[in-house]
Amino acid sequence: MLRAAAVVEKLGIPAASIISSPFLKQAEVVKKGLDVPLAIGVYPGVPLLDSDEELAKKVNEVLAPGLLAGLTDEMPKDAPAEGGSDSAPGAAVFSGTLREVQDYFHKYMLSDGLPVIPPTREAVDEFLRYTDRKPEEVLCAIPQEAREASILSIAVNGVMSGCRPEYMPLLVGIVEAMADPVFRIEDCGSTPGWEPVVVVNGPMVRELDFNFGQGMMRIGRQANSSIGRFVRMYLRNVCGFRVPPGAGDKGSIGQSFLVAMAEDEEAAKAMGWPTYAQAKGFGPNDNVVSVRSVISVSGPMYTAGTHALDHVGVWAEMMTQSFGYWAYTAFKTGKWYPLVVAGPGVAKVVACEWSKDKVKQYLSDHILVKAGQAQHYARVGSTPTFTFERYVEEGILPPEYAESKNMERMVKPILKPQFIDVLVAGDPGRNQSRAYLCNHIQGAPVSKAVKLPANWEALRKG
Amino acid sequence: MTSTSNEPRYDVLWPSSRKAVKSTAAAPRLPDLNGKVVCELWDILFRGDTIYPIVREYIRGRFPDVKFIDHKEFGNFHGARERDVIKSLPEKLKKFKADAVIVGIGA
Repeated sequence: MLRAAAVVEKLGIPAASIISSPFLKQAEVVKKGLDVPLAIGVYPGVPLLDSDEELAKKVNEVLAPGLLAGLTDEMPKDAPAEGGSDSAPGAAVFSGTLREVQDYFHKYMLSDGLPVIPPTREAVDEFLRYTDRKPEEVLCAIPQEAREASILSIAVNGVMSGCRPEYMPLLVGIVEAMADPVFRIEDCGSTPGWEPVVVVNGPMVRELDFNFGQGMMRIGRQANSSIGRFVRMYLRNVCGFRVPPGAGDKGSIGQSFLVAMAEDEEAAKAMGWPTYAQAKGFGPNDNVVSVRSVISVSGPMYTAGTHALDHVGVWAEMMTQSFGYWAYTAFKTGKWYPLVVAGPGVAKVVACEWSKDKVKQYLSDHILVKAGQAQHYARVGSTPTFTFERYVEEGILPPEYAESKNMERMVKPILKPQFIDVLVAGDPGRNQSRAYLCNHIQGAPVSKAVKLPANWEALRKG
Repeated sequence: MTSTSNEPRYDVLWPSSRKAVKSTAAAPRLPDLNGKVVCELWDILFRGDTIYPIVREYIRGRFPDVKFIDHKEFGNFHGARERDVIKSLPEKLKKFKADAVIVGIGA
């Protein structure tokens, strides 16, 4: 929201923004990233929890006077940023024992609360050997503190997270994917508390020893675990998404980092299905990293039977049950991206009868929610004026979503079957699958090819 | 925690990076809103339909000749159309001869 205010101020027009008091600290972080002074009128408390009388009193006594002052009075000076004072990239900022290094990073909120590997010059240089890019190269100014997403910053945070140097090409690809405008990393601190998950495809899955089988989403395998940790470390240290006593991350409850996923590509190929990356347009031997948000995870989807419908029919029912209440976000944005992690044994049965595209079409057609439920939850969650008609008028939903006023009618949150992804992974010895839902347009799926250094083979042979 | 002299020491690098934006000064404020145009931007969230009219009346009580432009003229600047709506802002603010803007609601 403050991004809009910054655009206005930069046009030379004074703006004042309405912020509820629990969001003031996050607003300060966002303001620093925008680097333009922004006036704020404060609404004390939570607007959705106040009576009409309380709301009117707060607006008249606090908010409106604050907004008026913001438009008419001189702007106050801003406070300094979190994370300690800015230092020179590449320079040592602290010297100490292992314990003292941990304490230093914790003190300045430059860690995730777990012990980190000290990012010494030598350790970082080892990572930099695994990329042809120069350490000072900047991929972009990454939200929300608008800092440089430099190759050096990726290496330092990779070291701290316990990654191996040879993961560096993937780490660069991951930051490139997260920095893609489609991913909307600026929304990573929103209250639903979504978490990015990395999906790895290509020969690197085996070469770097990713777990794509039983227990794939458990902490325990170095590649999966440390790369998942890296994502959250980077979001804190460079992007500025910090939980209290930090401020940039407003996830109300949130969730911990997710270990990286990898696909059982041999299983997928044996059954004739394109891999996750192939479905995104990449070749069968391309190394690819993808990122996507996870706002909700289904329960374990156990299925049995010898026909595709025996399995996919249950997936549709369980995904509706698991994600149904969040469907209003699909109607507000027109975008909803579920991922099915299909157990290899189950996928094999399905693939005997159905293509991946047919699976997606079925799920898109059969995941249905009641219109009244979506409207009710939208109104209590964030949008008291929610109607299907509004989003049809805005061109986000097709006209048929406003053709009936019957709140008992069933409506589709997945507008297009291609919004659904399927990944073959998990325990081949059990009939279980799971589904992972993106947070609508926030953290939408993005894939990037991994660029290996020219001397990759030589480096690997050591 | 204290350290012993034979423990290894580590010179560690800064894990963050430089700010990549240049500071911009705030726009000049307007001590008198009489005769001015105040535009309203709303993200269609958190009871703005109730809040904006109260704010409008409060400001009118102090500056009777202020003019407001309703948020509907600008569209929802949050969510699926955010980037398009924000891109269209300069032209629309110019069209309405905006002197000031109220933006909401972050909650």
